[in-house]
Amino acid sequence: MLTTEGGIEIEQVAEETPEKLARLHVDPLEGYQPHQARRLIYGAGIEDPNEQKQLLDIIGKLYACFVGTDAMLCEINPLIVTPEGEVRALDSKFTVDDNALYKHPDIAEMRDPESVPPEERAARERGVTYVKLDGEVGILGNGAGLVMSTLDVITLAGGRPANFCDLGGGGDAQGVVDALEVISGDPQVRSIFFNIFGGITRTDEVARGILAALERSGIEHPIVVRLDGTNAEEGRRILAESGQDKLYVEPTMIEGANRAVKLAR
Amino acid sequence: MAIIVGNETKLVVQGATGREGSFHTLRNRDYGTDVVAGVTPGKGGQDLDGIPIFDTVAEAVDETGANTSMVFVPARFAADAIYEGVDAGIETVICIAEGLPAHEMLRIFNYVKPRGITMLGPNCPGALSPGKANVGIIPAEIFREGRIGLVSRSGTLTYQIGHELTQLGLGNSTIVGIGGDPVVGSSFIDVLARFEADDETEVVVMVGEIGGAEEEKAAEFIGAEMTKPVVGYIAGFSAPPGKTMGHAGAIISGAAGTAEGKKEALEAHGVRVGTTPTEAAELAAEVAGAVRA
Repeated sequence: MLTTEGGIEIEQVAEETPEKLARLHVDPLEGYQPHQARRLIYGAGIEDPNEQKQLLDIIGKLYACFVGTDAMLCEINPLIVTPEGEVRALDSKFTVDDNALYKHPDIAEMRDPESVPPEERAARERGVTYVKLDGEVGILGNGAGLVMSTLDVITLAGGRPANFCDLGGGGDAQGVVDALEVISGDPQVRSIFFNIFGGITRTDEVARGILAALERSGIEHPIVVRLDGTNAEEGRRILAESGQDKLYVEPTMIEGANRAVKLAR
Repeated sequence: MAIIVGNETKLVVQGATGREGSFHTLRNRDYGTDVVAGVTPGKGGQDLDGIPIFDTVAEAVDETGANTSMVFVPARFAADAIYEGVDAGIETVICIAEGLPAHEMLRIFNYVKPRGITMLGPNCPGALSPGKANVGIIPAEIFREGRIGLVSRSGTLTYQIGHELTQLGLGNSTIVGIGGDPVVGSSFIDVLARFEADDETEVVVMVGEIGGAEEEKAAEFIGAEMTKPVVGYIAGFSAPPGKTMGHAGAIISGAAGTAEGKKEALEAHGVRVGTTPTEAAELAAEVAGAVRA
């Protein structure tokens, strides 16, 4: 995308003056060709031949950088023309695909551990997918979609989710211990809602994992567990008969969410 | 008939001898999927509980007539595995592997599309046509045969909704996981079009989440092209902007990609959207009942 309306958010240009934003799709198999950049330059209404020539060079390099570093975004904003007629980048924004970092160890090294909240840092070190939010109900589940849905159900129940935390497909005891420790490390958390749907991982195995984790981690918070899926009745029975007084077992997401929100008050 | 996987599926598994790969390969076969071959370079001539292993996909296709491949190799070998399958004549590629770089996937997408290949994933749970075939990691025991098509960006959320449908006495024609990455082989629209054409599907449930604009595009498609009723569910109403929520593609950028925006777009085209997975399943049951009546 290219526009002469620099210095402001590109989303704002797209919304307010879409005619001033020239766009182009590059076929990744064809790769970048200079005629594409020429179309962008003419499309954005840049008429000075000297500026056109310099831009052509910059666009080619920007594309090479985008592909060469596996970037998700390469933005130069603003791009300025000096009084001498030189086109220069004044600022740029650049994000790189986490999945491609193995190909770019030099870029991976630039990650600043201080730039993320301490809870998220601790989670990353333990291999737990965790995003800190601003509520009181700690959330733990298996699968990104289900966890997102759990945040919504907590909100519908009148509570505020404290975090997003995805255990992934498995439910082994160590993964549960790590996740519970990260979640309970957030001082705002008042209760924890553990939402598990067991598919291939049978829920009775998950239930044993939860009990093992509770014994090892010494968490003080009330924990609401909603177990459903394969062998759910057996799983719920194991939890109910465990004698853990901080443990509340609920059969559905909505009942679990209501209980967790109540316990956080 | 069902879609994408079924009785005509002859499956070759790329990465069948790995720990996860072998577990799911045998699971898929136990379900009744016609698993004809596995491929692991260097292990040609061996077998996995009777399933012949080949060094290359080309050999597996020549020897067994495989038409569908499931990719279970580590992320950094996945692109190569996908190209190998396509070049060997595979028609349907289901990539369970997660962690493929987005640029890699852009090139793959532009390679497979003009060749008429059906691709699901990467980072997807696969596809299950109950009673016919299961290719991937979907727990088949929680679904039953029926006439509801289910398409989703999320694995466990699909299981959740499928489970609720089962408890309401309903079943599925096919359950399709398209994957949670920013660039995937099949979009909602690709799958919706196939459900529209499938005579075993009466109602479709579409499960979306924050990020991108695929649900909005699907809404337009449903309004313009679909005669079958569609029920929706969107996850991520309480997700903050700018944060990736587990799936690489699940991120609200500026004002784009929000759950509200997606819900409104779907409703504008006549799609009823449940606020919880339970409500979505109930809506599907209601709509399916109306279709029958």
